[in-house]
Amino acid sequence: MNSRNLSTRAYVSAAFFVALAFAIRLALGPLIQERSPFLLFVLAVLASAVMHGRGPALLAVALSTVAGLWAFIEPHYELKLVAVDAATNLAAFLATCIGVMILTERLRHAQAAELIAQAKAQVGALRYEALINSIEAGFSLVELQFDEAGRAKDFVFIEVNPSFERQVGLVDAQGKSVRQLLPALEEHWFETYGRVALTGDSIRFESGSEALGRWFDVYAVPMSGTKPHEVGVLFNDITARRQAEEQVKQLNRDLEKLVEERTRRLEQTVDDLDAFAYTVSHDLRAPLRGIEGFARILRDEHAEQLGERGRAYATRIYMAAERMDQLIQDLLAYSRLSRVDLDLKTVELETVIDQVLADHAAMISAEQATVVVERPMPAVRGARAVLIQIVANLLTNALKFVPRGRKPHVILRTQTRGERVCLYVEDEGIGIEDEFRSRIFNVFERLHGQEHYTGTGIGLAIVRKAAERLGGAAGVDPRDGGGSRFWVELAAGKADRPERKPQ
Amino acid sequence: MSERASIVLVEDDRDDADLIVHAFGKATIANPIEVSADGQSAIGRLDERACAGDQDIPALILLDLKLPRRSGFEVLQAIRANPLSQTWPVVVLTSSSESGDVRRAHELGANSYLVKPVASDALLDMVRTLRSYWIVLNRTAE
Repeated sequence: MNSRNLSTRAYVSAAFFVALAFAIRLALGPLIQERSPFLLFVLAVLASAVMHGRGPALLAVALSTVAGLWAFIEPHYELKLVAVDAATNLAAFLATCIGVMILTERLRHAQAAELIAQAKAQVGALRYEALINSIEAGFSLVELQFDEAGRAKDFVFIEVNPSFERQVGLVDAQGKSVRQLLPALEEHWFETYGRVALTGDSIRFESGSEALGRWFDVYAVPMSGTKPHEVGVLFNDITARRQAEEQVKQLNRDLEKLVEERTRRLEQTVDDLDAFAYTVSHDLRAPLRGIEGFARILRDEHAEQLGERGRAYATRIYMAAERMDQLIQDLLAYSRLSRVDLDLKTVELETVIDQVLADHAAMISAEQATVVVERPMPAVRGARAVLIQIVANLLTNALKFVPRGRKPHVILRTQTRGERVCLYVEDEGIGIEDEFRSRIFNVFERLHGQEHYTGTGIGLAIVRKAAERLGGAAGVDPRDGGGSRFWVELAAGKADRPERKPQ
Repeated sequence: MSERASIVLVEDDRDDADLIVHAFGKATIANPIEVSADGQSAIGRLDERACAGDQDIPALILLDLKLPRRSGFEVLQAIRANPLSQTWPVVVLTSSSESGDVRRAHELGANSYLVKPVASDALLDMVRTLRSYWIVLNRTAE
């Protein structure tokens, strides 16, 4: 809208110039010779061309031609010299106008280009200034100086931004050479900037400077400015970050050392524990054998001298010794479970159960117990000896904890859920109250006095520990209709290579 | 030289030695029993007997592992190292049930490995087994 208004005004203005020239020509008519009818009109065209450009100038030419022909050239209807003269005048006028228009057009173009370039440069400079003055990063424009061999030997700070001083710690650097400001600066800085200036490839790197006592994150970019070998260097002081990183590394090293030290001490402790367990298994049991053996000999072979009470006491001595022996053996089994490396294989659960049943045949018949095994059973992943321990402990548990006068009835069954196998040992025994259900798997946790149900209180702890060592779990639920249902969840065995041979 | 070959018991614990000897008595084993209380003297005495020749071959050597001066393993090694005694029947009788000990005893050539039971019933059972397997069988084999 605006531009159309402008051009309309330009055309009106051109018409006005022509009208003005016409009026002046009329006014000055007598003074001007008939031979130059278009003289003043050239001025109107020139003014239009200079001020408004090609379009209005063309209008001015057209109007001038019409006005000149109409007012100042008399019509001739025959081919006379005067007519030739007028035509010549008109041609000269038009040629002049075209010349004027071409020249002014060129002039206007050149002017516009220069103006645009100037404006662009100004905007660029302003932007550049605003940018480097406002950024946190340090910036310097440096000019590299090379020796005869083409090695960068120095650089001069052509320009630095306000952040430069804070980032690099150099005051009033502008215009000075870095050799002058910082004679100790490392060679690699010259090499790097020299390479940027010569190759024209920018580079980003992190480097420390001992001379400055700082670390920098640097972006060096070639600047094809007025001088050759100018490089723009944008950088951040990353000393704090570097120090933090260094600190973290140091802390990690310390931590590793600490872990090593602790591990070593832990290994020492484990070794000590092994030695302790060995001592317990050998030396603690030795006197027990004496107590048990001699008490029994006393009772069996010296019964006469002892009398009835004496015999009863001797019996209690050797029974106590046997209990203590069982306790030591269970503790050993428990501690061995924690420290021995287990070689896990695929084991047929049925063969494990068969072996446990065979081992406990005497106990089962003594208790007049019924043991039902729901076959077939799947293979599980485990170590045979450990699985035997689990099943034996659960079986003896089920045989032991029955109400007085009841015959034990035990069911062993399995359930496969995907990759897991759950072995259930169900009894119709005395059951376990809710509040004790989680506690009975702890070492030495006993719910009953020795006089009711004998035991060391380690059996179920062994079951849980053993299940965990095999990557499984153990627990107990109440059974519908009374009694308990102990369960052990294990990984299913792989069908390909079952380990059938009993150890 | 007695009519029956003797049984050698290498055992440093006097109580254990007495109980084992007692159990042998109860199991009616008539072979004389010689007790060595440390590894060093056991090696010396067994060496002497090996050099004495065929007449003095022990019916059975019962060997504890944890012994003063020389361990049971060293005694076993010495017996197996001597060509004159390398076939003698050696049964390790110890309180250790550590699998490492069992494996090592077998590697060194023990004929059997038994863990000393605390219950004397079990000890008697064990001695009876020893009699029927090692002593009776060995004698009839001669």
